Amino acid sequence: MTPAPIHYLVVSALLFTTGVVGVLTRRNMLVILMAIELMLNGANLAFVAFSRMHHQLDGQVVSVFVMTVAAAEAAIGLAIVVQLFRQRGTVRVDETTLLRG
Amino acid sequence: MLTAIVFYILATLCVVTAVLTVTLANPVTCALSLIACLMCLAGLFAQLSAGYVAILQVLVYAGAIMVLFLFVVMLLNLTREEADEGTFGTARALTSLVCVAFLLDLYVFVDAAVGTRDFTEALEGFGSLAGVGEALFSRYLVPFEVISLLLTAAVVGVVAITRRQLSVSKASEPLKVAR
Repeated sequence: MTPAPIHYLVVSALLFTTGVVGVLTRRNMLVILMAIELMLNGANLAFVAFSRMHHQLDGQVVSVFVMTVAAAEAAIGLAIVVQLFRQRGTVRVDETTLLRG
Repeated sequence: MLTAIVFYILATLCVVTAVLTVTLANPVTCALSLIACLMCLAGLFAQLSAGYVAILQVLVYAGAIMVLFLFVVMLLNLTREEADEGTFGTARALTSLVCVAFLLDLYVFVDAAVGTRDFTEALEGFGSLAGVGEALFSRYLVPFEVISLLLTAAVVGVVAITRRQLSVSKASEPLKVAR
């Protein structure tokens, strides 16, 4: 049985959901950032699969853009983590409640 | 037949390493399993005749971005109790259950959108560096330039965020919050 579009999209959905679970359940801010990367990659796989299905390159171009945005997001996120650790000595999100109302 | 075998191996590895990424306690092992996941994804991209995206995935994602992650993990040098996540409580179990419902929901949408459609034969040179590059520099020229602006803004932002404040004593003093 050769893989059809639905197979790739199921893998993509699984990756995205795993990322959501990671963001919602982990308390370490670094691991939360990694889970966000997982979600972006799940979306990327769907883009590339649809691009192949429709014989249009647009999906691949968008996935290149997503990668660039992910790089910028990782750089900013890690800078915030480093600065947070420097000021508060922790990267746990349940201990950084300064903005809680 | 060989394509199917390779697909199932890559897909299984990809999902297993993704689950490991969000369940393992140590951030270093999390980052390493995420690298493995991204490598498997690059293989899946190559299967979908997206060679250029696959190469970028290995170079940019598994290379540059994940090295940045590992570098920060090393810099922070987290202690054991800092990295420890505690036990798997009821709240987390409930969250995971809700996410399973979300996954089923996604499957319903995907099934409605694609169903039993199959891939047709790829065109000659589809997804090659030349094809993607031509699209990037013609139809997507404006977004491409905007992306370069975004990257510049990100670099400036990172420098601004991580710069040491001159009045260190004020900045590093935790604010007192009235409870």
